[in-house]
Amino acid sequence: MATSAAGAPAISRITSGAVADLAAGAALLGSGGGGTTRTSAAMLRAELGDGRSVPLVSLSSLDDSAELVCVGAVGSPVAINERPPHGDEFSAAIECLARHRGRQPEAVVPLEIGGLNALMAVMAASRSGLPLVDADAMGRAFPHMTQTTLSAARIPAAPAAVVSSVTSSVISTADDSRLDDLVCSSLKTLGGWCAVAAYPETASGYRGAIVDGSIGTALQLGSGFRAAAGDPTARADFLLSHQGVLLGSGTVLEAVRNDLGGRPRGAITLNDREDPQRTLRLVTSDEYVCVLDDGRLVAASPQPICVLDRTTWHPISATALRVRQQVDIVAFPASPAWPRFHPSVGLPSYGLRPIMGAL
Amino acid sequence: MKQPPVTVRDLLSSGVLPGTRVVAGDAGLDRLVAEIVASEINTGVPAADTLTIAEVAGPGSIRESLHNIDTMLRRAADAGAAALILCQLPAEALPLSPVRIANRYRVPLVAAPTHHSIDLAYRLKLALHHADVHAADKLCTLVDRIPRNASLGTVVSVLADSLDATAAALTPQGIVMAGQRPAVKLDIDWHRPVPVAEVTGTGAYAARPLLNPDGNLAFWILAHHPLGGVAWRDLAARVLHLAEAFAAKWWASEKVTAEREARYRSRLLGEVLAQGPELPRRTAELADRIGWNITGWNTGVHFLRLSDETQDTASASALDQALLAAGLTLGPVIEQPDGWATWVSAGRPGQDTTTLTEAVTYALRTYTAQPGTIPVAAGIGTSASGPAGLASSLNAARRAALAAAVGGTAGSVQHVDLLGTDELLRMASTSLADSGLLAPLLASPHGATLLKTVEAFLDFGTLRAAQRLHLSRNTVTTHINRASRVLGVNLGDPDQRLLVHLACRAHRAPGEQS
Repeated sequence: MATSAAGAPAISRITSGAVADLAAGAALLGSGGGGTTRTSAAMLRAELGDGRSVPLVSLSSLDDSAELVCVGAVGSPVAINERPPHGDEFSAAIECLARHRGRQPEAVVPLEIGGLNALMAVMAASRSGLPLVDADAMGRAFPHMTQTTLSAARIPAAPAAVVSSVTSSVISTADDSRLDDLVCSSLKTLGGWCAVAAYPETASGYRGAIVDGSIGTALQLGSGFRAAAGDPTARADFLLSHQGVLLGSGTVLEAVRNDLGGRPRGAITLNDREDPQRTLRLVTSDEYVCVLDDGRLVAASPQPICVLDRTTWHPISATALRVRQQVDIVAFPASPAWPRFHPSVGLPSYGLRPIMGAL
Repeated sequence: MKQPPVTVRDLLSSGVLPGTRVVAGDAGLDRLVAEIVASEINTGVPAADTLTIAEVAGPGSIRESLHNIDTMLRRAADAGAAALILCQLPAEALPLSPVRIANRYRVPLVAAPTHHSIDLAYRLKLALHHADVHAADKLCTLVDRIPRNASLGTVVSVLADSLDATAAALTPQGIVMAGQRPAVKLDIDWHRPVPVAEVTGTGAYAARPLLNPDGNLAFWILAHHPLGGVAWRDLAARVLHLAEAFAAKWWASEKVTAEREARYRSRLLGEVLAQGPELPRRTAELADRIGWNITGWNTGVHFLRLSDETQDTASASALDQALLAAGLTLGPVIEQPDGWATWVSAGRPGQDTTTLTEAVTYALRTYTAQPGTIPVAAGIGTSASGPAGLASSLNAARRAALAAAVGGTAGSVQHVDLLGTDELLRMASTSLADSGLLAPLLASPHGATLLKTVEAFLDFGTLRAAQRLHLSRNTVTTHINRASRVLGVNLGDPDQRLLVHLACRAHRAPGEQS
């Protein structure tokens, strides 16, 4: 995947005109999860109406001592769609954490570039009046708030501020997984989702521990994807220019879904359009976890994996894929910010046994 | 000694994998196996010609490892492995993808839900590297498991268990005596008593005939395995050879018992029929002891054999079952020289003729539909009271059966009450001499004398017959009564009188004068 330059971002401000590209790119990077971007894109377009915009800054342009904070929504995408945020939850979470630490952040970092959280981060920056850093902490979408390159680099997620319609509180714990457990177990009480501000750290601490340039990447990806979706002849060039790979093109033969440890699990079997004996298998959870081609692993988390309707190239989420759908399976390279074989994003993080000789 | 090459098929049919199922990859069943290896599902590296056994569940849930089956299968295919056995995995838990991969790369994929990999590996290694020991173990186990005086059912059941196969004992006509008939058609000449063992496109089978002391074929014992190969075929032939001794012992014992019981029942029925209205106390006690109800109103049913085949217990048993299935609660089916006889007993007269005829017709249709049964026609007598009534009803039934048999159609049924003059004349014109109507009379003591008296009586009446035969009128009357009883006819009835009259004429040699 072509990442934007680590230096200055390609654009300096995010306006309503960039929302469509950002939403399309975020949908691809959602890897079949992260929630639909349609509602959040509409909200952001309204937020950036009347010529309003959000400054986009590169991490390298910030002072070493500049305080940064990651922002995103945690919880069920269905709940977020049913009870959409009004936008102030994110700025309230940033403010809550700032009060707790006694330091005001100087910029906002998206917690997750995949799915609706890419757009919610812009919303948070807009409402809090802070610039948005061209980066994110995941490089795609993941089900847990601490499955981040920051946690992999041992930057603590806590203290973290949690804001919902019913509460506004700060959680302090030395253990990232405990923070994730606390937030997840409270979601039902919080109304299904909450706004989170976490990973308070200086810009120098973030450097080298974050997926740099991911907003720019999402914008470029989204722009190219929108053009390619409408023009099938441009699809190969689009993939080539973003280091994407068409893993297979076929029809869904079987979709088995169940539950493992409270998380959804799925095994989707497809044949290949040109070689019907060839078998493609998608292992799914909240997102697409890995792809097997006749028993060989050809893509796996943290790579962004997308399943696209073959005709429209509309992204299909992991929970919406159905038998007889004709699809293309596409994968992009994992962010280099992720250490190779890191356990927090591999198959074991989804409760699955690892595959020998995994990518 | 060098071991013969062993295929996946041989191992799967070796009997150490009961309850397993080949889920996919059948095209690779004839791959040679050089070694057995137990390994982890996610880390195992199959080698060429190895049969790999992997535990799917392990310390976690099956769902944690299902994707590893795909990758393990592919590693097995790339390495040229012989097969993959998945332990602790119900076949239905498998998604479609491993099935497709196994089929594409022809790697047999076997689900062994109740087995553990280490134990299975040990047993398969024994079958692979020590086939003789494995075969000897099978033979010893068979001998140990079959008890003394085992029934045929037990022998066949142990046979099936030992070979992990479908096993059965079948008559030459294909009637199942014990066990379960294989689901596929076996290419065996059932009337040629030669042991056979073959590998076919639908598995392998072995069969051995058992002979009667007179050298005639009694029945077959056989086993079939849908995955069987050469090794299974050879082992099955040896196991069947051993099982044959147990089956033959059962058969000899069964035959002695059956013949003794049949003789006993036939003799007792003969005693009952030879008596008058009052049975001697001893005969009544014997009949009562074996459960015969003959004191009420009895309706005789006679099944007349239409072929010259020797009556067998299988046909008698099939007939018994067909009658039961038709809802008939009859007495015992008793072997007679020309077929079988039985009767219905009721507490009061008035047996529903139509219902009984329909039920017997239905039963014979069921019986005739079974392959290999002796063709019969049936006759039903008139309901009559007590042992004497039973005798006359059975004789009438036999006569009706003769009428039913005239057409030569197996399964025909005739009630004696429905026999009309036309029927009788048709019988007479067909072949009264061969009909056997007079057979009981001819077989009885002084039968020829009685027949001569009957002929004279029918031709000339009592007075002139006495004159012509130089007998007293009382003697003629006594002869006629005795002949009527033996024949089971009422010579006062015009139809029956005409039938006997015609039979006498037909019996008489051409040119012979009355």
